[in-house]
Amino acid sequence: MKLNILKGTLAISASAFIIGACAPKIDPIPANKGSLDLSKYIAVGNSLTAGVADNGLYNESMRYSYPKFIAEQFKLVGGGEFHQALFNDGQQNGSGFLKITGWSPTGTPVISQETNNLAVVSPSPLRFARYDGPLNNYGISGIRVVDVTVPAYSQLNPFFERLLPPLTTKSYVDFVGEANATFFTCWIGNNDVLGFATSGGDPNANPIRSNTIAPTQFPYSTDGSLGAITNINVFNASYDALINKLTANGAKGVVATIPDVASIPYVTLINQQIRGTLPTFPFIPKSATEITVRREFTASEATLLNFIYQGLTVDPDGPGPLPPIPGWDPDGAGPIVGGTNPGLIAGNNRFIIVKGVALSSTIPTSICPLCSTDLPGDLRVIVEQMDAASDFILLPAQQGLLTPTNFANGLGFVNPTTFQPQPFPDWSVLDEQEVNFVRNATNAYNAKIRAVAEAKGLALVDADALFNQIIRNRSIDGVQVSTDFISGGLFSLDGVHLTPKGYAIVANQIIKSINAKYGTSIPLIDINARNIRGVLFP
Amino acid sequence: MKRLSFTILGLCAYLWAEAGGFQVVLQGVRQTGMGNTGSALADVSNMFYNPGAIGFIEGGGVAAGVNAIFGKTEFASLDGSIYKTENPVSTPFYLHAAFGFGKNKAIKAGLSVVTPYGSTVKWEDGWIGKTYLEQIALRAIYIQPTVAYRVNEKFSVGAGFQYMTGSVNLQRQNALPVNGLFVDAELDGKATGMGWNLGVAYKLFDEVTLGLAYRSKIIAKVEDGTATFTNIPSLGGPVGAAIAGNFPNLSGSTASTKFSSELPLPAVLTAGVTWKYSDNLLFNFDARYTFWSAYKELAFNFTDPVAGSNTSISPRQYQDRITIGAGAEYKKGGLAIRGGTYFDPSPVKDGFMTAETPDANTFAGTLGLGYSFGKVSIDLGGIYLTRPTRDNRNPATDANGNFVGPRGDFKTKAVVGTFGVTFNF
Repeated sequence: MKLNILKGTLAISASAFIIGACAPKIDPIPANKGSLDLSKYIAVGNSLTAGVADNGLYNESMRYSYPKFIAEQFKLVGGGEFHQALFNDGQQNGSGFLKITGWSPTGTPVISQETNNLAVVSPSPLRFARYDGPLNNYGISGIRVVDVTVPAYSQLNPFFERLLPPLTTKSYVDFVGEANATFFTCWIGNNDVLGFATSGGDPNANPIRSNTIAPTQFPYSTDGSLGAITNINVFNASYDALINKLTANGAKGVVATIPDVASIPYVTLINQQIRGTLPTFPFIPKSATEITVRREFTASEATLLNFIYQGLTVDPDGPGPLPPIPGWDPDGAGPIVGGTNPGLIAGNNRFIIVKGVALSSTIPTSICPLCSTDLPGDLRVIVEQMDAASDFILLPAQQGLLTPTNFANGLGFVNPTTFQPQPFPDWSVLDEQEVNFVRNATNAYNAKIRAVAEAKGLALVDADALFNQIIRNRSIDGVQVSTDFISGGLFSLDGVHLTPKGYAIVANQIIKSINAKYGTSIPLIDINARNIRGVLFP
Repeated sequence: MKRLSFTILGLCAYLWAEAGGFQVVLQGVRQTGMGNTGSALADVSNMFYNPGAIGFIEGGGVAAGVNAIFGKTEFASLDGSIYKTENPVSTPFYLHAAFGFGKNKAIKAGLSVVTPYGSTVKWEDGWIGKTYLEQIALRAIYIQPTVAYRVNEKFSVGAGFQYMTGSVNLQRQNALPVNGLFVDAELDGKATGMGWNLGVAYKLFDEVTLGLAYRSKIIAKVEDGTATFTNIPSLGGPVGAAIAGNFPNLSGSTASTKFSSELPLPAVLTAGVTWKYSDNLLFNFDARYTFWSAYKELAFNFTDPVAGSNTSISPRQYQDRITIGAGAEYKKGGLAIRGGTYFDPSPVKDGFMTAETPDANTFAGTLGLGYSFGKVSIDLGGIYLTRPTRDNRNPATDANGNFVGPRGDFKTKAVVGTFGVTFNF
């Protein structure tokens, strides 16, 4: 017995010796942080930085935030600990979030709101369970550049409020300044246009909109009115204040530009379906394809409908024909030929939309039952045929409007039995002019962000170019991904925020920009090998 | 009982590629000890590598041996992590028997059973390349009836017919583009093939013998393999339907289909010289040209489509390579001491390293020890080989744009121990 044990021990020792002798002992892929001090990395930004996904901030989504991904790669080159404002167990679902809970008989995803284990401690004003632990991810849902210097901002934003002691008045700039970061990433500015874009440029769509903007100045705002676009001068000053604070102690970092609003499914999805440019895929909601239907009118019907709409179709530039709209689909109705009606003709016609180009308008319920109606003031509304190449029906319209009942009622045209007009309301459409407002602002912001990166010697991530590249190639760095809603893998169920896969892609782009700028070799995330998920399916 | 376990060990001769590519050059314990050289040696264990040399053995002989390969590969991933193989000890074996007939026993007839190709690689659980390979066991046993004829005192010729029987078992995970899920995939099949070899030996002088041998390519054909997919998730709606549509004959969480495949076991041309410096000391020099370029791609043809396709093709694009080796043997009384070295350049081009053949140029040193009791000799040998770190950070891609192998660096070391008995009569 003892002899056997001895033999066994000898055999094991011999094996261990042999195996030890042939251990290859490979060196890790060369990785170094160069001269960077990554001992305290903080992430500055909005909901994209916080890790919001599926229209919610919750523990699972935060674990896949891009700053978390970056911090894990930093650790390979000696980066420090990275803490996020996670919710306690039992409140792990945070703000609640959207999830696919099943499928309709036609194969449409059934999207529901998670309402259990939330961290909501007060519904009105909305307040979340406080977090007072160590913090590295300073992403605040909803924050805009225009907000960062406002001392009382935390009282307006429950996601910021939960990070501060009760009733604290502290600007975001001062808050991040106290972190004494050695390295930072800063991706902010999206919300300075997004509120306007996602409300279809409809000033009335946002219930707590400030009324201080003169109608003639809308959509730009210098005072941070919700649903408006931040004035570029205000943006520039606030952005400078933020970056100056972050770099005050010599910290290095990365700044990122803002993607074009027409890259997010929230804006583009339904139009892709209308234009038939979306690849066939089983996840496309069936009802939306019905909006490819064009309505055919007789000459007398068209004349009657033009008469009904008459008086609403007012050209803000005065009487006279409106200019042809570029990209008009030739096999639809012709371009608008006059300023007094939507130009319906005998034959096929496109949807009628309300283009809310101005504040303070009245739209009679009889003309647009789905529109907001309580806007006093001068009549400056355009009703016209929609051009799917330049006017975007927003994602909420899919849930709110694109129902079989509404289609039966003549949505986008007129109720065929009652002749009640049913145009798409302003809040559901981002029209060409509104898109141009957003794009002009985005370009101006991005010019500022690039200039700051140059002046401060910071690395730059061109998120705008990144998203355009993904749209064009449907892949990036060998990772198959597209901006298609639900199936594309990049955007989460809200059509604005990203999936874990999307955030990992952003993290890799940021790391690449750091490596390029600072001569470091921080390893990238192997997204394919890890098979990082997109939207979660039931 | 001991005999039984030895037999089982022999039958389970899963191999671990000890030479370049998936070639296993462990021809005989004497040769192993001398840097895998000795194709001109008059030694019964040369039957497979040079049947022509068999004509020069005195009468007949039987040689049997078994090897134990302890090999380990490590992988440094591009994302900074490190993974290693947990290969089981593989035990390739050989058995050679030759009998003399006719005048001066100039005619030899014999049988050779060897395992010249194979690979056993098992990566640790959860390694980053699991979608390429988790483990593979590839084995090929060659059974070779052989005849040799000593034409005169200077010249001998020999030839053999080769029947190959083998098997392949490959396990990996398939990444689903949904929820970050993986599905287990296993390909299992038996392979057969046929070929031949031909060799000559020529005594240039009493002290110097030259050998030249050619072994044909064998196409190992898998005709009726089984591809099995397990742990297939069950999801609802069109997503579940799309997943289910990717797997043939789905039942519960398992799907399967038959497959066929062909793997070329390349031809080899070997040239060797043995120089008897004295009665005590001899030297060998060998060069071995392996026609690796026959291995262009790894293709599987499925009876029922998998992920919408009846084929799975991954390019390999191997290139022909020459291995060179040198070795020596010193004899004193019944005792023999051997040493050698060889250099085996990799047939795998840059960017084509795979998880199953993480090949690189091989540098090896060998040692051997033998003792003869009259007609019987017992030999021990060992190889220490190393494949330095090789960069596979930018792999080649297949027709679908997928990488052929995982991105990162590979490094391999191995120790081979070998034991053999030879009986000459």
